[in-house]
Amino acid sequence: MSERCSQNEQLSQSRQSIQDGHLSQSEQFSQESADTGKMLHVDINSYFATLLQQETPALRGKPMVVVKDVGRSCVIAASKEAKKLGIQTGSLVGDAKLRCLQAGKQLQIAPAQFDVYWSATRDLYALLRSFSPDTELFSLDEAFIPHASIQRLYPDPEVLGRELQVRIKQTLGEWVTCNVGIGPNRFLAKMQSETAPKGSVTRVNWQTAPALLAQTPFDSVCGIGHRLEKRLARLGVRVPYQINFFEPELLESMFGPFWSRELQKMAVGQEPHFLTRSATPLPHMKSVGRSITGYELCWSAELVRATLYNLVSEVMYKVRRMQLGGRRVAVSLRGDGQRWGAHRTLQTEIRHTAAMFSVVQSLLEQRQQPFPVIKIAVSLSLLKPWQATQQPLLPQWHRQERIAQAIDSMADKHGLFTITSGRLLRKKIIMPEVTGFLGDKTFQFGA
Amino acid sequence: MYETIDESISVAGVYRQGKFIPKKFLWQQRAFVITQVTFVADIRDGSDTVRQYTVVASEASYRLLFNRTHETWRLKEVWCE
Repeated sequence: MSERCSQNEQLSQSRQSIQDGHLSQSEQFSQESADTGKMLHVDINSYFATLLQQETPALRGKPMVVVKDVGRSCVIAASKEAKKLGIQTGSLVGDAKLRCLQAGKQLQIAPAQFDVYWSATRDLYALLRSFSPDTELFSLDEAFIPHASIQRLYPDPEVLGRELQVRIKQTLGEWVTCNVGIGPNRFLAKMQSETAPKGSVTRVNWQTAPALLAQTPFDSVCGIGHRLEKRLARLGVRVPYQINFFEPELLESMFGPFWSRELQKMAVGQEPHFLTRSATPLPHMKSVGRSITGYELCWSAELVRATLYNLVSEVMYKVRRMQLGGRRVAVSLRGDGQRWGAHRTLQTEIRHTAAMFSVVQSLLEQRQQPFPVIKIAVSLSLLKPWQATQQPLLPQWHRQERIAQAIDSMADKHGLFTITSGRLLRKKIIMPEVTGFLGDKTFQFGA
Repeated sequence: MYETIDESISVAGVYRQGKFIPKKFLWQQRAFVITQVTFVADIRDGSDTVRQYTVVASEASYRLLFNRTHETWRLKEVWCE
């Protein structure tokens, strides 16, 4: 409730700053420059693929893609050389092969090594923090550095940017390049580095911001998802600057009070709520979820249940490690063009795999028309510090707690899933993996 | 594509500025001279910490694993075109 109030306050303050003063667009841009410092956005180019090329010189200079595992068909990362041929994250391996064939080249395919990427991210974060303790890790391969914190050591942010590039090469390897975008806030700095040539240090200020906003398509704008991008495209809006041509009332009627406000902020280069919020560390995670996309459609209800148990085990291990408990259990399934999802909010917090899995099972029973499944997701939300919840008195709960503690201590010593339920017997265990967005950074750095 | 080997090996190297740099490894009674260390990653496996060195020797890439808890070396994988 208090979070919503503060959000509303922020929005009304921002609204006032633009609308009440009846500022012209140029005045809106110039007014911002008065009250914001400089921000550097560091973005490693084609992270997963570049690290693999760094590791394996035979792959350097060749179009290559990273897939989740051997035999998978979806590209999760493409090298700089592959991107030049139009191969993107999300492309199908078959299409990528065809594009390479047409260009007379051979596509290299390699499975991801999430442990290695995570190790590299830890090294990267340690390096950036050695420059400034105020470094904000935004994703696995991106970070923001406020220039104000190191202005006395590096008065010129471009010199700092070039120094960062050199030190990143020394730390991660000579093949690893990065973009450094310098801007008056996170939003513009990120947009600048996303659109600049690979391996560059570039700068945007309030004078050049309108041009950047008028040239950057929404797929390179942080905070705009595919669905919103499509809705904007239906209005003929393809770059943030075009939003300025719409009346605020019209935007509000089309996108609602929150998104109309966010779009207006982005249109003048202000930081959207998403980026401002990401800079503020949360006291604890709000939800923990895990999803998996299979190789092919799965008809077996038993295999779906085993996979769900596997995912629930990982979620609950993380929840317990962060000393949390949650009340809302959600599950969703997708496949064959169909999707199904359900959630249940419990009266008390849970933190045991068996408790969450029994809720998942009862939700599954509500499914009316089963369909073959390819994507499975579970989550536990409404998380709260366990010490702040009412401690259960039931002996059965304490028995479960002792089992969970024993399993967790074995997992800490010998690895996750060293001991697990017989439900996973003779099944391929799905191990935890880091995501590009690093949504669980609170867990990864904190637990 | 890296092919799994997972065999025990012997490794010789030097410590430079407090860091270990592998220089040579012995696998199946053949010595491989390491010309480049291209990547080093620290990986956790339960309470065991493993350091993965990716090295170039005889123009091929090899992933060597050093288990820091048990102080053992294994050749994990070799790159095959």
